[in-house]
Parts: sequence; C-alpha cells; structure tokens
Amino acid sequence: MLRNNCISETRLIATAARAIGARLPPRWRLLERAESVNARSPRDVNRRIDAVWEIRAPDGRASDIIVEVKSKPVEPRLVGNVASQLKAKSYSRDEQLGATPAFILVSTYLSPLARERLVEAGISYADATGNIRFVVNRPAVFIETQGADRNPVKDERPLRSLKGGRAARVARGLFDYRPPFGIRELADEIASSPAMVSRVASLLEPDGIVTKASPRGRIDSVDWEALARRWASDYDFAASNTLTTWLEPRGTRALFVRLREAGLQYSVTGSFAAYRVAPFAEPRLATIYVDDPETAAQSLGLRPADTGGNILLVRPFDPVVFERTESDSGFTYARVTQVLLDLMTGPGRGPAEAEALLEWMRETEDRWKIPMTKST
Amino acid sequence: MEDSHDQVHIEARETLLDAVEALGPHSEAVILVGAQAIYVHTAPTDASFALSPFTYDADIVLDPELLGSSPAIVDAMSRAGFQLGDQPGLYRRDVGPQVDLLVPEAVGGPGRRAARLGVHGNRAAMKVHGLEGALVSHTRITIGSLVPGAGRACILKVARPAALLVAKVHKVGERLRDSDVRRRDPVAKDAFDMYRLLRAVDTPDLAAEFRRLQAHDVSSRVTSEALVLFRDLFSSPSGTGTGLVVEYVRGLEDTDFVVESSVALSRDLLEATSRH
Repeated sequence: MLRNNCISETRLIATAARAIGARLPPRWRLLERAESVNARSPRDVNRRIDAVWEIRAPDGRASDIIVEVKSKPVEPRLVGNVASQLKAKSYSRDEQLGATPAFILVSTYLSPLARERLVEAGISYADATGNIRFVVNRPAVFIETQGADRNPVKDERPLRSLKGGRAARVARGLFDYRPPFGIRELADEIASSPAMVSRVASLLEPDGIVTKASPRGRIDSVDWEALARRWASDYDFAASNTLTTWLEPRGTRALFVRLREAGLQYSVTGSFAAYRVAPFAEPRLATIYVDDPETAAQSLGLRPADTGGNILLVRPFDPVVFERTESDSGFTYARVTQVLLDLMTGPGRGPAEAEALLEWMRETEDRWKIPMTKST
Repeated sequence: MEDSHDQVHIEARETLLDAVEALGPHSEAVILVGAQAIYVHTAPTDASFALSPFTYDADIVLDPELLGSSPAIVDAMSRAGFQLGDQPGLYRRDVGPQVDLLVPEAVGGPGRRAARLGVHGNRAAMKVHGLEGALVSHTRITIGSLVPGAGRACILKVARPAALLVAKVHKVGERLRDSDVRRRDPVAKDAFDMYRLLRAVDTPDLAAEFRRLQAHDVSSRVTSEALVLFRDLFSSPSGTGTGLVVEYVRGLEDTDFVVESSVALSRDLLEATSRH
C-alpha cells in the first residue's frame, strides 16, 4: 500500500542516490535494490524500510545501506529517535542476512545541528539542498558535501491553532486594527510576515471570523468577538505565560507609585487594566507584564510570596503585550484586546471582569480599534 | 451605603471639633490620639481598604503640665453638652460619638483609673497605660470640619504613628488579658488600626520615632514593653494580633494577603527597631 507522500519520498531518495552516485570514484556504483518495497511487512509499520541501497566497489565488494526518508526537515532533538528507529528496522533484517548494513537518512533539509547529531549517531545523511555525508566502512567510502545552512523552503503548513507567539501576534493585529487592510499592510504594522498573516487568516476564514475580498485579496472584515473567543480556546493566561507571585505588604497602591518611577518596560493587564475603563469590583491583584520578573521584583522592592501575594509579575508569551499599549495617568496598560484575553482565560473573577470589559468594548469600538496609518 | 459612611466621618469629626472648642483655653494641653489620629496618618492610603476607616469616638490626651486652672474641664465639657458618665473621663452627648479625655499613666498621679488633675478633680480624665508616647511625639496638623462648605478648623497636636502604635499594642494586650469577654470583642478593630499604621508609614520613619520614644524618660518604659508585646502578638502568622487583624477583615479583604502583609511589616519594624 502506498502512503500519501510516497511519491515525494521516492523522488527524494532518487535525487539523493543520484547526488551520491555522481561523487563516487570511477567504477563505483550505488544501486537501489528492489527488495525494499517487497520486504515491507504491512503489519509492522515501525519496521518498514523505506529503501535499501547497495554500494558496490570495482573489486566486487558490496554493502547494503538502509535508507530512511523524511519528507519534512528533521529537528535535531528527534535525531535520536530516528537513529533508534533505523537500528530497530535493520535488526530483524540483519538477523536474516547476517550482515551489518550502513544507515542513511534522506530528508528535504537537515540543519547544522541535526547533521552534527547524525554524525554522532553514526548515520549518513543527504538532504535536498546538497548537504551530504556518506560513510561506508566496507568497502570504504567517504563523501561529504556542503549544502544550505538554512531551510530554503518556508514552512507553509496550514496552521491548526493560535497557540504560539507568532500566531498570537497576528491574532492581536487582527483584533487591534480596523479592517479593511491588506495582508502585507498588517504584517508590516505588527512586525510579522505576510505568510504568517495569511496562515492565520486561512485558519480563521472557514469560521467566518475573517472575510477576504478574494482568496489572495485584502481582509475585508474581522468579527472581533468571535476572534476573541477563538483565540481564548487556544490561549490560557496562566499556562501560556510564566507567572510569579509577589508581596507588596503596603498594598498595590504602594507598588504603583514605585512602578511609575522604576523605568521598567512593563504593561499592566488583568483587573487593574480593566477597572480603568470598565469598573467591576475593586481590584486586588495587580497583574503586570515585565521582561524579567526577578529583576523587576528586585527593583520594585517586592518579596516572594507563596500565599497571600498581591502582585503577579508575568513573563509574556510574546513581546506583543508591550506593543500598542495605552498610557493613562503615567501608567502603561496593555491594550484592551490583550487585557480581554487575559481576563477571559484567567483565574478567579477574571471571566466576569472580561464580560464587563467586553460590554465596554462593544460600545466603544471607535475608541480602541486602530485605523491603519496607510490609506487602504 | 456611601452616604451613611460619609455621615459617620462627618459626625465623628464634628464631635472632635466641638470637644476641642469646649476645652478652649486648655487647647495647648490637647493631643489627638486613637482612631481619629490614626486616620489622619493613614488617610492617603486608606482608599485601598473596603472598610469604614474610623469609629465614632474622639480620644484626647491631656498633658497635665500644660493644663490651665480654668475653666474647670468637667464644667466646660458640660456647657458644650458633653456629660460625664459613670467612669472618669468618658463624656457623652444625647446623640453622637463619645469623647474620652485621657491622661498617660506616668503623669496621671496615684490611684487606679482616675487621673489626679488638681483643680479639675479626679473625674475629669481617665488614666491610661501606654499613652505616654503622645506627650513626646506629636505633630501639629490642621483638622477641619468635613461638613461640605463649613469653614471650621483648628490646629491640633496629633500623636505621631509610633506613639499611636505603642498605645494600641498596650490596649490590645490589656484587653486580651481581660477576663471580661465583652471587653475583648472590639479589640480586632484596634489590631486592624495598628495594621493600617504599619501599611501607611515607612518603616525607617517608624523605627526612628520608636527610638526617640525609647530615649525619653516618660515614654521609655511603655515603648520597650510595647515592642515585646508587639513581637508576641504580630510577628508570626499564628500570632494573636495577626489573627485579630484577619478577623476584622474577613469577607472584606483577601485574608491570605493581610496575614502575609501584616507579618512582613511587623517583622520589618522589629528588625529596624533592634538596629541602633
């Protein structure tokens, strides 16, 4: 049974074999053996061998090479897995043939670190950019060529969620700016890439959260409430960020006085930020994004607190929390869009505070939606 | 709610001003202590509490050395409508808060509860242990009426924070030793008042004032006693004083925070006062 990506894998293997064959000394040959497909056991996918090559020296000595192919770049951390897979696959075969084959990993792209790991694991490699290291002991062959150190193929896989800083950064952009706007225009504004904006838009289009004039056209409208709900399903204030709890025994007011003078990069989110525009219950817990909570706590004179802390210093999931902030009375607040997400997915009465803020946002869209600077 | 809360403020302040006016010629001997004095120091930071910041009573210390001979205190108070009750020094009008005229024990003469004030007699003021610091450490502050549009105000000596803390810790300690459970009930409010002071005043300033109190003959003993008692009551989460603070704020404030905050500030103060 052919796998869906079998064709591209076959092509990768053929390309690698040609590239290696071209660099062999005269009269050496690299052959692809027909055995590979037939030898597969359909019941045991893990032991399926992608291909078997035979290297043959002019004097007739020959050796098998077990080929593993990965159509996606192999991350360095996964090299260990690949190595053990290869060895497991070869094991049953070795038992039958009584030989010790060499291994090669063929892939679209292998980063410098991935290659280093492969060398350590004693596995040859070949990628589509021309990175080749081909080592066989008997008969002895050594080929090494340098290809690209950067993956030339941009990752164009469709997004599956808004998790991760890069996707969330685009979600914030879609939320903050008033449509219509072009893909590139938004990307420029939010320091993202058109490709990333496109991917996020494609994720949101099927649900009607984003509508485009044409498949490659500008974004006509964004249903920001639906976007907030969608984003909230992929975001969790406490889990997506790194939270640290501190005590200011004189209360949050004392903290804010010092915050104004500390010269830190920060933005206030949570209850205090919501209270500013949509007063709910008197806020108790000050929640503040800072680059480095430990350093910030020190300069603000806070004490670590296991229980009873009244200050949360938060290392953000992405620096976007410091962007498009709002100033009020000498304080820097995270944008209401960020505050809304933080409260929606936050603990305690956060969700209730988010409701109040949402109400305010519905009534005052003109006040918080940012017009595009360039004319659209 | 907000209106009645404001009304409590206004009434308490009016009563205080009435009493100070009644004491007219003796005003140099008057020092404001108690909850209203604490409020003067904590007002800028109290907005963060969801609690009524002070009670009705006006607590006034009289410095016997600065008291003139006339008018007689009891008569002057009576002319302003403040009638002496069963106990010395505690005055009431038909309505409104009580006025307590108090004399620090160290300068109150012999006897148990009544201060011996010469021509003013033995009933004009009550003797209280722990108020000695007010004689040593006070500051003149303009205290105005809270009635909208009223221009009434007077410049009054107000006991400073450490003197007020010393007085409160003695009061709390004394009430906790009291066998009469009814007298122990309101003491949570006093413990909370102490916590308010700790939060409002910078620790180095408090510690410096404590050292001045310890250096002065009249207040040295009560201040040292107060620090020992304070350590017992407030320096740990399980301390009785800490427990009283929590009891007072339960349901209104985050009690975990109040415990941590109260203990941290108390320990800071003890550490700062032990450094010389």
